[in-house]
Amino acid sequence: MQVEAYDGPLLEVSDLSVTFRRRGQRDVHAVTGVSFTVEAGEVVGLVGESGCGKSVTALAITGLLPPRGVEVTGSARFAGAELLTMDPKQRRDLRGRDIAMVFQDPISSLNPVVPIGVQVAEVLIRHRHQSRTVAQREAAQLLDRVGIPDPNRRLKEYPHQLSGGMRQRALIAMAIACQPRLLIADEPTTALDVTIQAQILELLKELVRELNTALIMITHDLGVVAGMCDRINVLYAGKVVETAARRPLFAAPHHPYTVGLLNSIPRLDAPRGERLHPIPGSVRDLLPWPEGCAYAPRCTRRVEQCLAGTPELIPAPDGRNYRCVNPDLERAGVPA
Amino acid sequence: MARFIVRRLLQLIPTLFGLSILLFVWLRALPGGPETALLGERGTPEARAAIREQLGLDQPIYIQYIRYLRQLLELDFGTSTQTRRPVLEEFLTRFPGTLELAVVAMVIAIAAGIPLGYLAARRRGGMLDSLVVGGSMIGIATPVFFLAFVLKWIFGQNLGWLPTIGRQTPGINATHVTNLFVLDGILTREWDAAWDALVHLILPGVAVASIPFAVIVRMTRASVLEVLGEDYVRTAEAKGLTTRVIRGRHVLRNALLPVVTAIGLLAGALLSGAVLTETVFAFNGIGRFVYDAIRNADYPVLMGFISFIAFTFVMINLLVDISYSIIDPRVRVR
Amino acid sequence: MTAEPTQQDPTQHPTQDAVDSGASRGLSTQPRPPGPFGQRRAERIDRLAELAATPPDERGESLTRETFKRLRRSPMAIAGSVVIAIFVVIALVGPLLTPPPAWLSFLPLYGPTAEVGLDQIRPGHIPGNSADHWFGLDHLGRDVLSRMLFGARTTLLVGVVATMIGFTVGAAIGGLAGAANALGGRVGRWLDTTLMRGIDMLLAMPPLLLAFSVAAVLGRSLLAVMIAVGVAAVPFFARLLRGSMIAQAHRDYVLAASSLGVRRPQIVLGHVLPNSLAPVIVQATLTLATAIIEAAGLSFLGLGNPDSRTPEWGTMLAQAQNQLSVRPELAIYPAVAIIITALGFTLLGEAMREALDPKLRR
Repeated sequence: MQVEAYDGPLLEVSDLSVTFRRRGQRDVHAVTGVSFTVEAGEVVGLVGESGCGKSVTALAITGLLPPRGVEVTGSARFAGAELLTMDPKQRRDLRGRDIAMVFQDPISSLNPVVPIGVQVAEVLIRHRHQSRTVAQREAAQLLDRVGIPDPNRRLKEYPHQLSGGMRQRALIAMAIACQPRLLIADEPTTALDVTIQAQILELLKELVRELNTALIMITHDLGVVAGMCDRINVLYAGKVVETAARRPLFAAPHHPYTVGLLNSIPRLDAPRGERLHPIPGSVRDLLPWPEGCAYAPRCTRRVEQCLAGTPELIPAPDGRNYRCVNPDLERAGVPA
Repeated sequence: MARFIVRRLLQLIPTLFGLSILLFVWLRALPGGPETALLGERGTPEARAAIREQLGLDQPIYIQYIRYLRQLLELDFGTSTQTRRPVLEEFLTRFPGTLELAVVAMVIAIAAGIPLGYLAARRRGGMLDSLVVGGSMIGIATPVFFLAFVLKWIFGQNLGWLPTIGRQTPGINATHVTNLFVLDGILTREWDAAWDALVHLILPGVAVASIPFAVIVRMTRASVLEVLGEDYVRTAEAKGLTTRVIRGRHVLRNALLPVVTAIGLLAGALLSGAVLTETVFAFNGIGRFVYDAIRNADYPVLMGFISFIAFTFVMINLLVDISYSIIDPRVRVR
Repeated sequence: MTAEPTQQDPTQHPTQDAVDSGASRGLSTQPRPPGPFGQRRAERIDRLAELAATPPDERGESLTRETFKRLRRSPMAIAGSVVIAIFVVIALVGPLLTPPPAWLSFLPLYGPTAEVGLDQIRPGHIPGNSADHWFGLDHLGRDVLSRMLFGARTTLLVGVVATMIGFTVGAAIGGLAGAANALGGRVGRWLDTTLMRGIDMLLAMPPLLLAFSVAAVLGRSLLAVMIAVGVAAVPFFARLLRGSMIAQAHRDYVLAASSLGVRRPQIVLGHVLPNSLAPVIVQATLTLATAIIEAAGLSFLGLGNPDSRTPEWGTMLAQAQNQLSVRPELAIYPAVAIIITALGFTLLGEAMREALDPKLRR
């Protein structure tokens, strides 16, 4: 690619909206007006509860949404090239080579009847135009790189013969095969045991640093984000409600939803016997944005003004943006 | 693999055993008793006595059963009351024709069913999808023998495109080695004869293929629809693989597993199809013979045919199991 | 196989235990491994059974209501219902009009066996449709339209009675096996295994041949046709109800009920059985179609209804093969009637199946 001349952000998403239209049913606005940027080598988090539109955002960027019944508007520029209107063939060339993805459930994301080796090698054959033998050899190196012991034997094995953690490592091996410039990890640890989760996160962190790959980390778990993301976007009901660098966000969350997410993480340093603070209600108790803040029905800081219309994103001096008319500013300035 | 096959075969023993008991009881439940069934109404008293002796009808029932089992194992199904020749001999001369017909029907059903099923699933809700689904439903709703008549009437008699009678044009210069006429023609390099035999197979083949086609096309469609929604297909898309690789390696390879299974089940549909069509096309195979046997209450032939179906089922299912274990690694491990 | 160990079904049919781990709960996306003889057909049937055990939608509506809502929107279901309704009306009214009552005597309809046009029949010549005989005459000079109208009832009767026989016997065997399995215990499992071995054996036979075997024993009569076709449907119903009951027996509400101290037999009869019937009803709709087609096949084999006083479409179609070169219409009328009717039942059945199957909804 003619990237060298380009010096803007690696990925620039602006005003991205995704609407699912189905005959006989009301349109579903999964994502509305989402904007964020990812610089080369940067780790960016997309955080929110399930159903808030974070996965749909990722699928829309990569063009993996089903072709029918979906309307995508706005813009997503990768290294200056518009992804949304790009020729599907060209986008296919980009996927797996420059933009790679790791999905949530490693067992269902791997083809059960094809050996792991073939599934890794096919990326190299497709994008690097390598021969089968060369690709297999490199696939073994990749498996070794992501920490799968005895890679030559594993190459010939099938997904069901691997453990959950190893499957996720294999998926990561496929994703980094062509040393992509952007890696999108969609809840990469949710389906794994806690001990394995930490290992996989560590592996991702390591790889990102080593390959200088930018990473979009999609998760519902602020704990995952805390350890690795440079910038964090909090999504609620298809809109960004707060975006900030890691430190300010954790130190002084402005949006009550971010506060709620933070409070609902169990903390080891909390006094014994202190209760967890779950966010009341669920994502389904939401207002359509045009009628006010979608989070209002669950919000503890709700005021009348919340229902006056869609709140705007408000920039704050520390470089953050938040979408709230009654933000929680008391904690501002308190170190994390 | 050998152990796998042996285990499968062993699992079949109780089923076959049960079937033999059913057949044994069935013969004795027939109106007029087994001797009438086996000899027909015209049997002489001497012949009836001989049959009674042969079946051991004056002996205890378990001895009768053991005799019967032994005869089954020796492939001795008795003598056809129509032709007065041993049933096994009759079957062996007629089997190649039916085998050819079944193979052609299966090839038609698979070659048309899988691509159409795939395309219908890919363009779900579109014109082609509606045509395929509607067509397969009409295929299932049409009595096979009526379809045979219609095909014969339109393409044979009205348009005159295809032959409608027999397995080969009488008087054609053909040497018969295996009695599979198409294969014979190829083996002896009598291309005319091979082509002629093949052309004779088309219309009955299409008629027999109707039900298997309908089943295959709909299973493929449902299965592809299911696989298209799988995460691993999304993974393949995310890897930027070409559509050809995604279709072959990721979609069809998974989607065809249940279809392969269904193909094994279709052996029964093929054989009943043969019974219902061969007569219409005066096609000299087992189906036509059995049709005549049913009309003439030729029970030795029918007993033989039922045993034959059971045997065919066993063999085909075994083949399917083996091919399944080759394409699905998860089965192999266990 | 480590795919879904938690969903392993310990009470599965023993022959399946060896081959059927993981995929046992149907909603799993894994294709089922093959089993012996007839079992694969069995697995397809089981799949439908398990689908009905799928938890209802998140909205909390019951499966039945959801299904009905979906059915009302399905063009397939509507088309099927319309065809069936017309067929049933003809079956009810047809015999009353043949011969027509006095106040309708202007209609060119006759008794089904009245050889009204016998004088017009010559060897190699059967007159076609005319103002007096809208569908023409058959080889004995009988009015074809009248016979078609009268035959609708016989045809419907064959389909309904055969399906009811298949349903009753099959549901009894399947219900017994399913209940035995759900109640558990050594005796229960033994009973279930034995019954299902027998059913699998019957599944291995092509239905037409099974029907033929029964018809051969019973001789030629309309009742024999019904019984023969019904028996051929028994294994499908048995397999389906058993599978459906086992799937239900593993649902949480059963666990809840038994932990509340409700007695097992009461749970099985009061909760499991009624909740297992949906897929069996779907199967009954589809069986009505195949029963009519199979009855036609039996007629073609010379084992059909011999009584010409009660004409039946399958018999009419089979008889018409002798006049094919003279009057092909004689075959076409009953054949088209059979195809349309069978299509009606198939459409409705498939629409119901689709409405039940969350996978096909996407």
